[in-house]
Amino acid sequence: MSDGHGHAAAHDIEIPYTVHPRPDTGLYNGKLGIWLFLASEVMLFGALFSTLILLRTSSPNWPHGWDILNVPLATLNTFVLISSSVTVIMAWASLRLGDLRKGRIYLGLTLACGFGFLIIKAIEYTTKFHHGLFPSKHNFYATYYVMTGLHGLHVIGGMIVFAYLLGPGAKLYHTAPQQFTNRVEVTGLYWHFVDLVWIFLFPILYLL
Amino acid sequence: MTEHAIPEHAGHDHGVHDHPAQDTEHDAGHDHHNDPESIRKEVRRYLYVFGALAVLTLITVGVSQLHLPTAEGIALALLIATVKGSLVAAFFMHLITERKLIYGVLVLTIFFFSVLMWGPWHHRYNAQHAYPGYDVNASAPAPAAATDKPAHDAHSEH
Repeated sequence: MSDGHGHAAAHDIEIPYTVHPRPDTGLYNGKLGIWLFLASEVMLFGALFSTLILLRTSSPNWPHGWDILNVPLATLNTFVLISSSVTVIMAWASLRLGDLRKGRIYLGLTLACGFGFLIIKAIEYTTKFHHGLFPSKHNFYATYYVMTGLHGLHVIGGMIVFAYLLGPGAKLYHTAPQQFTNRVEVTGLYWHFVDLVWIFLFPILYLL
Repeated sequence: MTEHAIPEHAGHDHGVHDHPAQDTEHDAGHDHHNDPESIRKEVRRYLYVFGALAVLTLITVGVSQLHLPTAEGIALALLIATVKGSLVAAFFMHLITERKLIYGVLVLTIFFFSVLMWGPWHHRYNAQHAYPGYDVNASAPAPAAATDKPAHDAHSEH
């Protein structure tokens, strides 16, 4: 195969619209993709919220979250997650300003917030386990562990992507800065969704 | 079909005057302005939103301490959570300046989410009419069966 053909082949497999918007959608593909994914996530968590409503309204002895869960720790976790939403959007803003160094600092802070959230959650879980409060104890605990556990898995998933963007993924900035900035934006959209889910989980599980 | 070539100059670690994003303002696929002053204004707005979220979180916790009746407590907590969620979606997820296609996706999502939320209420309030004698609490244990009641010894962890 001649160089010309090789070049053409490489050109053909290039992923389209990673930076430029598609004429028909007005969006670059990554952004449309993440929103479609988030729509499916709404249904995933929606099914769990729906189940919680069904179980709670059908139970004569559903406990108050504030009575048996650790509200101060959960409040702290809420602040940690809200802060991480700000740091990730600051990372995006810094990259748009052309400041990769600041962008990486904010990505690192976001990652640190994610770790902080998981550590606090682990403290909560281990205390519950120490008291023998497992999912089998009551439907309240079953829904508590499933919903916060699934949310925690989403936090871990976001952290893996942030770690990639902070490490080897950052090389892309030097060759395709706008594409890298867009990757941070779509990862941020996912992270804000994870924050949004917690905004509803916190009062429903802990404060009611 | 492939997109245009991405500008081949490396991003710099510092400085706002030589930013590649400024070269590709029309390529980013969103309505954000990439000039430094607009971005700084956005950042200030994000910080205000953060402040509002922090205050609303404290209000949520404060209201829960009042131990309102269940219906009022749930309504108020969900109202505050909805305001907080709207702030995150509108500003952090920049939905206020998003394309119509995204709004279309969200309208569909909200519709199907509403169906999910409607299901349990429909069951709760119509089962007794559909099936005379049906007890929606039938699966719950009798009050004497304390084994299923959540242990309150978790107080000690506070």
